Amino acid sequence: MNRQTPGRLEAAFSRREDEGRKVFVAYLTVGDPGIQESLELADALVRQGVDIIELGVPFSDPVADGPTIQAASERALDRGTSLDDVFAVAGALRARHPDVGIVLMGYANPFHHYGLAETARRSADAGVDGWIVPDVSWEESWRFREHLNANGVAWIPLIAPTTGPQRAAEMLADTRPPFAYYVSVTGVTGVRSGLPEGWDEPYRAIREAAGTPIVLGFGIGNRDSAAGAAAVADGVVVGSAIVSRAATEPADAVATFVRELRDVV
Amino acid sequence: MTAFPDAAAFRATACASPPDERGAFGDFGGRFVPETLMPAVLELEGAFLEAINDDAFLQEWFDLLRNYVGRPTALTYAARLSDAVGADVWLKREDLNHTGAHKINNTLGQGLLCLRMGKRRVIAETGAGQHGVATATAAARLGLDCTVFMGAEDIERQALNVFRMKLLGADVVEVTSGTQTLKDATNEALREWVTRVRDTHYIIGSAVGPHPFPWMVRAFQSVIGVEARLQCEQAGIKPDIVVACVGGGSNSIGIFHPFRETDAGLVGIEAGGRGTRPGEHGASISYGEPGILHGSRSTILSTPTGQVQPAHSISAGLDYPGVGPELAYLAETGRARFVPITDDEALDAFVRLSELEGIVPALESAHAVAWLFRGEWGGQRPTILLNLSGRGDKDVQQVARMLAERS
Repeated sequence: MNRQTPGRLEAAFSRREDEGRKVFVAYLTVGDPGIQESLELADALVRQGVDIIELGVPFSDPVADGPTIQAASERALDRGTSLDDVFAVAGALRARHPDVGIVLMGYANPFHHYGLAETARRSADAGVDGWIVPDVSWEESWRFREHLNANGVAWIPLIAPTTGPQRAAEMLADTRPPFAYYVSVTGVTGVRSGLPEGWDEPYRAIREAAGTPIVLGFGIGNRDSAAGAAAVADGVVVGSAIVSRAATEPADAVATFVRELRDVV
Repeated sequence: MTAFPDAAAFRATACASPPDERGAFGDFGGRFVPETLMPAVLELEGAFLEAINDDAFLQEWFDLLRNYVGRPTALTYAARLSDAVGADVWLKREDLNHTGAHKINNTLGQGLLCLRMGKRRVIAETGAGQHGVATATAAARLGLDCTVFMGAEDIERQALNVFRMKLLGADVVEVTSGTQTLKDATNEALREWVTRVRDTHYIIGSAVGPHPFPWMVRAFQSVIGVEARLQCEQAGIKPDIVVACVGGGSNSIGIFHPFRETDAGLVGIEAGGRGTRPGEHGASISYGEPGILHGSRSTILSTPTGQVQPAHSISAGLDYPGVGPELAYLAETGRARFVPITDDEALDAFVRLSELEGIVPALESAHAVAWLFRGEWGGQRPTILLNLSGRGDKDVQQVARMLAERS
């Protein structure tokens, strides 16, 4: 089922563009506080208008993540969460929501350990639309893309403030993703007091040369930063602000918080 | 007669057998880092290539190695040890380096490279503190700011090295995430590098990490093997076996690499710990599987669900769940073989080498010494070159405690 997923991610961008709005991407760490809780939270977020759900695959050594997501990953692993559980959550979410974008965000080793061909196939079976793998550079992505392409799953590249327009353009021309993910800061994930001054300049330079929507993530956790990001970018990603609430608050409360951000995007 | 190489000869050996353009040795290596670091990693590769091909750079580094570190280090015939194990054993005395181990060869090389790139700040990870001390030392000598990341558990176990680093002017940052040891100190150093990549160079301490680090660290540490080859020629010996301990692999690749094209067998000694089950050892090649950790694809210790399995070793320098990609490649091609040695064997060897030769080895190096006592070679009394990568002063308190527990 869902072997070919033509355009669920692309559709999310064109749908919002038609409405004069931006795409909202929400991240949660699967397994924190529990597998079922993660499914219910993802479900609640979709019902509040989230366009793309990023399901975080917990990993023991998450070098691109700040303290909030590190701690969530540790808790999820302590409860025994594995890639099997992530596929189960993705599959159940897909069954409930045929149109939502579902993207796995995880580090290279768990995918590699289970086998890239196998995990790409299982991703397609579970209705996953794409992978974001923060510790796999464009230079190494061929190893992953080979298997994802064969299964109709997208490779979503990350672009950083250090990347520069030329490298970004070459990367996007080579990988041809439905969208790319721009990291707002040189740093790790986590809520900050605001977006860094002047973040939009390098973003615009890269976006201009790209024929691809580019969402903005890292550090967006309140209405101001969400609105500021959405004024420029094609979409916003909220992660740590959701993860820190999900650990202690019920899904409905987290979804209400996300709704407030969603409304300004 | 000097055992010190000239720049051209050093370069020819150190840079031989480079990785491919992706930074891979066979199917091991590569650049598995966040995009934020990619431009820095590419810049570093260019800067390293330029530097290593510049005689002035090599002369400056050589000058530090001779007049600051005290190179060339001696090649010592270990007569009593030789008789005890039934082989002719020659020790490459990296324990005689300033700061007590081979680590300083690399930190000075990378420190000079950092200056060349116009960066004034270095960061490093450390387990027991040896690489942290070597980095802090190089930073003090070269006038660089230095921050060292160290697991909370290691900070408690290695209070003396923490003090040494601070004395040398470094900031020591306590890492409280994960296992609170070397693996997590490396994670935190990578996160700091992502955050401060524009003004900071990360001095990785072993032959691990994204390309060009494994290659660059190998090149700098090749000074060990290049010297040793000259010294062997001068002594009129031809090693049948070259043996070294393997954590991440910087001292082993440093002595193996210049002997690759000889007939010598290469033997890497891994941390066998206290058993063969997960969590009981640090033998990534002997008991691990291909995996991706800290910037490269190599062999790593993995759990059944693809998480990184924390390692164990009596020796902090070998207590690491990965290994350098070039060593994984040498294992795969059969050019080198790898043998796990247990905590107990290493402890015995620590004592035996002290008694027999008046040399107190680092617990890491004691693993290589312990292998000699197994006598696992066929035929005649072989000539063995052993890289004694560090001295054991740092370990005496721990060993005293363990010997007391044993008796």
